[in-house]
Amino acid sequence: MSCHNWGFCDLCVSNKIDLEKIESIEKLGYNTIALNTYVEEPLGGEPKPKKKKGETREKKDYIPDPVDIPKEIAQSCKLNILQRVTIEFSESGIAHKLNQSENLKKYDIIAVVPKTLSAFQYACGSMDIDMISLETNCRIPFKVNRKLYRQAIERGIFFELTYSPAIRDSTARKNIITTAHNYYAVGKSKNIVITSGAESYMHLRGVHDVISIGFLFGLNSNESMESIRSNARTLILKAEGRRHGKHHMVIQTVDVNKDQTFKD
Amino acid sequence: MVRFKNRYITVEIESPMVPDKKPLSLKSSIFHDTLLNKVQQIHGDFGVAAVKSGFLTKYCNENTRIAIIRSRHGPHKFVTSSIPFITKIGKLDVRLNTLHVGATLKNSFQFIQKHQRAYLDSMWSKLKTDEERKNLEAAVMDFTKTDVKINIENIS
Repeated sequence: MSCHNWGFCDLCVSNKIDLEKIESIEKLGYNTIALNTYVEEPLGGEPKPKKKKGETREKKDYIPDPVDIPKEIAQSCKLNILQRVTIEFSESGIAHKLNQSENLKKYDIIAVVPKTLSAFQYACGSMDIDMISLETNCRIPFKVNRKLYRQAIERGIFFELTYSPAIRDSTARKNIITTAHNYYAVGKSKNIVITSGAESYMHLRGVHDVISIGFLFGLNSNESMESIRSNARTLILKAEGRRHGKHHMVIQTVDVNKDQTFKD
Repeated sequence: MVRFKNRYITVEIESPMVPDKKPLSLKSSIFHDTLLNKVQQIHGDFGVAAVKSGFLTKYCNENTRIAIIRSRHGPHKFVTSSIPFITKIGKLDVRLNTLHVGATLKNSFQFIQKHQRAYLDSMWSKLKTDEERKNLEAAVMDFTKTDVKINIENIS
């Protein structure tokens, strides 16, 4: 896993994107992408279905299945394609749902969007996740404070900045830049990952452009380069570690057929 | 005396509305205006004022859709950071893709020539007759639309 060539990563591409044209992402200079599945918080609490005796209620998984990638596409392009889920939540009660979910284990990367201060505290403090992302459409109703930010960094959690809403409209742009500068003020922009969050190919930008967008986010060119390369790589490795639990080594079998062809 | 430093930004204009085979015609002035408007939108009056001296745009080649932007060193960061936010030039939906940022025109041209060659190689395989190939080569390596032809001679 660690010897994979991850290269430049775009760790959030919407799953609505047309997979047929996935080569164009490769042309932009990326080596790794993650397809995002967004899980919204149900509004106003779920109505509890009445229990009837003798009837086993089918359990519905809170997290949907990841989108499947057609094999031809996966083989034809050189991109590493990961699966990522983004979960919106406002209270810590969600942990129960996540523990029960079987589908959650199918994803490579887990990101959350906390909506309240207590949710943010929980996400930074004790939740088992890889990435924290903040909403872009409206102002965040709480302040990111230094203590929580430091705590999250120590646990190896990354903070995400998405740029494609910023390309689309002006208010989102203001919000994103505000959050980015806030991260700088609070913790010198440590552990930042810049992703696209694009829903169409026109909103994706090349590596050069992402670095210059990083300039608007208060990062210098070196830091923005790190945010799409080495930070993303550590995030992927950390996520892999989380999935395996307390393991220190993963052993993979090399394809035996390959060696035989060499001997002939 | 400190030298007056410039930066030359090479951009590729991509548009899904125009198919790859056809040349994309565009007026240099419209491109120039959209860029300045975007700088105004993102960096405000200060940004435009800082960028304006020595600011020059040239749309070089219709086939490979390459444009060069010259800007003063320093404020060129305002330009490069507003380039990603351009989604429309005139009525055309576009995406600008920064290819290269160089310090001299010579450097930028060497880069562009390499880029054009790579483009040619990929297109040649699709064409059948030699005549078509020659025509394409002439069209792709053509810089006559811009007044930078002298620069090519300087390089070789």
